[in-house]
Amino acid sequence: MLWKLILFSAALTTVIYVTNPPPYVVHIIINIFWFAYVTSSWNIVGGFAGQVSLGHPVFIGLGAYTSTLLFMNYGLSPWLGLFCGMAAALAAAALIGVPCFRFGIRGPYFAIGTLAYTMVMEQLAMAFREVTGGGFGITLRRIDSLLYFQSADPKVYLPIILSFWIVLIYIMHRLQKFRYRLLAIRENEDAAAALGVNVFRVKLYALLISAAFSAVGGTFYAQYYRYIDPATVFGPDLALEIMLIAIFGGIYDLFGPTIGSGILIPISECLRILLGGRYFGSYLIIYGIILILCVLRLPEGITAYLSKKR
Amino acid sequence: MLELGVVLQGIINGILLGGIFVLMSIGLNLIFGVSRVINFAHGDFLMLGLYSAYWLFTLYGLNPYLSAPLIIVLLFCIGFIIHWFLINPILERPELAQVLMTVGLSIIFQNGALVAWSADYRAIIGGIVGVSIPLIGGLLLPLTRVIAMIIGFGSSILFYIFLKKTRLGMIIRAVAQDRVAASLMGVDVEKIDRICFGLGIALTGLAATALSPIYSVHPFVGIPFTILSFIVVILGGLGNFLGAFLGGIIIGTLNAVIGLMWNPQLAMAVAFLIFILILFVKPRGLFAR
Amino acid sequence: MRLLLETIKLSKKFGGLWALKKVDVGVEDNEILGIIGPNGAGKTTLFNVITGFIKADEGSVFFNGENITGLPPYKICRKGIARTFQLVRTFSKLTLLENVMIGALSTTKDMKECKSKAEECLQMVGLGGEKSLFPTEITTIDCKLLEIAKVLATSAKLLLLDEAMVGLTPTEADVIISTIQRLREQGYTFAVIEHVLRTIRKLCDRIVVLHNGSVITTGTPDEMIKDRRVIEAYLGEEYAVT
Repeated sequence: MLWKLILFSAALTTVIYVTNPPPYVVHIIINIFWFAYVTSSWNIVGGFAGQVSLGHPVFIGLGAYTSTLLFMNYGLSPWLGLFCGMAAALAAAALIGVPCFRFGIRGPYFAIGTLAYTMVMEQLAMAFREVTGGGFGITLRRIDSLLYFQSADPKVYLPIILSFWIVLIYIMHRLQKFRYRLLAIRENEDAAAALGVNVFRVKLYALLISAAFSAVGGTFYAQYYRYIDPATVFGPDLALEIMLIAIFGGIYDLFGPTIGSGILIPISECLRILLGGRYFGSYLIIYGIILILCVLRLPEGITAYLSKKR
Repeated sequence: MLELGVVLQGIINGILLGGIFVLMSIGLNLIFGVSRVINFAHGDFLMLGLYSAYWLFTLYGLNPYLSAPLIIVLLFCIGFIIHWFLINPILERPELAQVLMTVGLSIIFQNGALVAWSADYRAIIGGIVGVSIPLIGGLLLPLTRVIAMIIGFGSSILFYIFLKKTRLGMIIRAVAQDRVAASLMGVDVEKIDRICFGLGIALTGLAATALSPIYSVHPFVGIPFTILSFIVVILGGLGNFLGAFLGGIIIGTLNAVIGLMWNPQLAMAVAFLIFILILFVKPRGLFAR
Repeated sequence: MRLLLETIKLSKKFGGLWALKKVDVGVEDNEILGIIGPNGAGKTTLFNVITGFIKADEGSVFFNGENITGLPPYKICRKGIARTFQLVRTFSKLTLLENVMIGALSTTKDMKECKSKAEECLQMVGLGGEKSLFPTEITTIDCKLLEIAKVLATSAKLLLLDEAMVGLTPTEADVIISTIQRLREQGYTFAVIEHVLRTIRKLCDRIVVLHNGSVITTGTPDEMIKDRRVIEAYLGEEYAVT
């Protein structure tokens, strides 16, 4: 598995470097894998464990803002700031995870609770504008050095995000026992508990791991776009988009979110280009329609549908 | 800190608006208590109602209060049809499916409105907008809010009577308490589901009419209402109508007061934090039986 | 003989109603104990309290001499008590093998061991050939056997079966009965909640009778049929008195 992942990524990177396609193509590919990474991370708790979370922007945003603020105010390289972001996200995850899972808050209650969490963080980020720049966001200082996780050549970001993606997928692939426990919890918590699964601890671990990975995604986002603001990284829109892509791709499958990302991101980018200016927001209408169709026709996502056809 | 006058005005404004929250949450309660559907698009139906009132006023000069019957019927039909084609097929599925479905609707409504009518804020002006009844001590009772309160509370009480006293109301309560038992006694549960969904949405239409002279409408105006309605309903205990009533008043007031005392963004944040805290202490609501 | 499981004055209240009133039940090592009683007697509540799904208001539960009162379900499972539920709770998106593997997760070192243990348990109940099927694809009786395989995989010593034979024909029930008897010979201990008299007479060594939350008597199945208190409390079976 590991070799296949590395081979694929190396091949993709080589192709990009050799053919040198126009910037927006590179951008779309990087975007695909950023979402693949973030949605796969979401899937640990949202798909495998079945705890649909709309709170992942909290972790992504904390990752982005922590590493960025440390970089802008103290000159700390975002490679190190990345770990601080992870720590912040872990704390945030424990803060919501421990009470929720301890008191059996699940399903739609958990979804609403995490959505509220996201919106609270968004409001807080906007309110404390002396620190976070409020609604105007933060524009990162240009250093263009890989030591500081930046590059003038956007192509460099591709192997970076691919590496993150490989690490995430491979770790989840190896944690077989953990995955089975998550699946059991998703299917039937009580039955799982009766068979010896420590439901609280497993759920919490899922959330913590997911949060840590998501925070790294946030740092990457900040370094790639060199601009962050509360509406995007702490936004409920992001929460919905992540959930939508993961579910469309297939939450039961390790590669489901990646495939979902591979299909939906190019579509949304094309729609944005085609219909963007005059019909801003229309690609979201398509998203909404896709979501509804998915619920009606493809409850297990597109990967399950495709594998059943074979 | 602010003077007493401003705080009191905030409390008044909030209480007056409480009636609207009550209407919204009764609608949500109806939908959840009976059909067990979690309607994430609830506030967006309100948005549609607000736009309807706005366009009826702007294009045809129709007084928003007079357009109420039209909007209520319109939204009832929309709700009815949506339930028939989109919700009913997935009722057997886990709650997640319904959540996703209504989230999808929400996205479509919001962005449909965005594309159709742009992101500009639109307000109904003229008439009694801006007129206030003076109270003692310089406090004001904005007329539009007073009317909203009357409509809100009045309709809620009427609805409560409807539930308790009419045949249909009794059937609805029966289905809410025990679907299987009700169906065993000959109730067409599916039809009741549909009616209740339509009614719940129609109630947002009524709320929209009352709200239209107060709030400007834009495509995303529904989002905070959805969340606040959920907070009210969960606070009051899902399925508990009286709880929703009380919860609506509390939330409306809290929202207004905090918005005045600190900044409005923190108001939302605090509301959510309180909500999360309450979820832990009493996950089944403050007033759950 | 030492009691494997012992409840001492176990009591549980729901609102104003006492579902369990100072219940003393003992399960001897390697026996098959039957728990009977009319509906609402508190049988499933008893199981729920023993296995930690509900907290007792009074009293205690001892397993192997150790006080396990109030422990969470997963810990009680790891101590050696496993249970099935009245409404079968399978993991519908997992194969039979994977279903049983969940039970084996906590007691095996790696996935290979987990898998082979699960296969072994499926064999023990006779489902070895169907391990790759999904729960939706098998018959009702196989579902019941699956539940037993799952609890076996947890390496539990005491298996609590809650109405394992509901919905089965007498012939199918006999399959379950013989499976349980076979397993008892291999050293397992059972406590089963049952309604059908025929099953109880065939399967159980001893019986505990619950009524309105209290134990009204214990004894052998034959003694119970003739006991007036039992007949009064529990007039449900057409096989009733001889």
